[in-house]
Amino acid sequence: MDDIHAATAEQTFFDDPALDRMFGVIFRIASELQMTRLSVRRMEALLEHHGIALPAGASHLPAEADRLAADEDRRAYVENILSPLLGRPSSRSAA
Amino acid sequence: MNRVDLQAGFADFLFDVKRYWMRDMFVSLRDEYERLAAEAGAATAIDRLRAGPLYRYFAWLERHVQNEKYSGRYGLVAAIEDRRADMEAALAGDHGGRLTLDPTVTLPAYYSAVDTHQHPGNLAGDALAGVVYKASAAATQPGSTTTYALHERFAETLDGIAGGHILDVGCGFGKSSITIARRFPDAVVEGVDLAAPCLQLAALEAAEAQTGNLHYRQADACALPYEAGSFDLVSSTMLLHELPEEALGDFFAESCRVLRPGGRLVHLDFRVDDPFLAFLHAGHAHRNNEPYMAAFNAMDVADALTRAGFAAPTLEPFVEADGVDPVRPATWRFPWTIIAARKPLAS
Repeated sequence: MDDIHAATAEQTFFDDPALDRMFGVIFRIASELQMTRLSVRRMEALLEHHGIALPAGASHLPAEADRLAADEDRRAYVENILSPLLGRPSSRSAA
Repeated sequence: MNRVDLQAGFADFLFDVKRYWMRDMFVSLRDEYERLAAEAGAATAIDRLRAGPLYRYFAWLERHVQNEKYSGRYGLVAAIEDRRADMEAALAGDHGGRLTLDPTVTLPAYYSAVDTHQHPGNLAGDALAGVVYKASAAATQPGSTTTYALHERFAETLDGIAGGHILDVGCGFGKSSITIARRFPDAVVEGVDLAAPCLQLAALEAAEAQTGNLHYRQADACALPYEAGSFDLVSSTMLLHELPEEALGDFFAESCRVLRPGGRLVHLDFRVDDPFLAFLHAGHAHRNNEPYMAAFNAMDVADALTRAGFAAPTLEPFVEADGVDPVRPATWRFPWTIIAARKPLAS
């Protein structure tokens, strides 16, 4: 029952493992872009409310309405970047 | 933004990706399967689904969202480092007599060879593994498993059979045990697990909650350190599918030994028959580093329980929340099942 060993390579899901790795790069770029979007959003909120720059290391927590809007914006962002994976056409093509 | 805000923002992002995966991608995949099955039958449909791009992306995302949650730049493992010293200090000790660790307990090879759930170092590989595991569990699945609601619902099913002495096996960081202890305040609850880091967190939280009827002990489910007939109920939550078949047989036999005659065995775990859902379940097992899950789904559990000495084994679907359709779910879900049996009065 103890006959199990850890795999030495990451799992792959595509015929060409290069695609697995490239999708990983794309996903991390999308992650970093979201982090940048979040940072910009908070900076804009801060400037709008106070007109001052964010002190280094400080955290500006948005108001509830802004937080809900940010949640909705993030979900829309995720849907937008992932929806091409579903393979659904946006327009009708000739057969 | 500071580091804490960045990590929280990243967790929110991964959570929404998982939500999209669970809902939109799952439904699209199910629709595609049903179309293919209508054309060519279930087995062919699974083969075609497996070869298609949608399933490949579905599988990739399941694997890598989990990986990023633990191991990415903003992952849980990195996030914990800033608080390591304070947390290690908080976890130390026996928490008012609520914890008994056993340094002689050795981790079986089946447990230590693979990083379950993609948790680097597994659940016993670092002093803060329990803290990381708890944070991961809270972020695993948008919906039913993010709170104690699932465990409370399971604990409700034990009404009338729990008795005065309860053994909760494979208790991890104590989510199931503390819920059972709260549900049955007049009972004495013993939680056991192999992973000391998880037990330390469980005992800390029991102490903080001032739970007086709960004790944790480091032990192997296959060699329980209790006298025969010590318990009225042996329970577990999400343990059985982590055990290879031989260990499962040993655990069932040990459970039967430590139960009093007439005592009850109740486990919350996963079983699925539907070809499409079983296909996704087996894939999940592989992608989530749970190598015995698919075999557990295929094994004759009722027979294994009977061979271990139990009577009247049952397997019943468990619906984790109101409105969930376990036959044709609207989102990806675990196929929750209650597996129960009784120790005969004369054995």
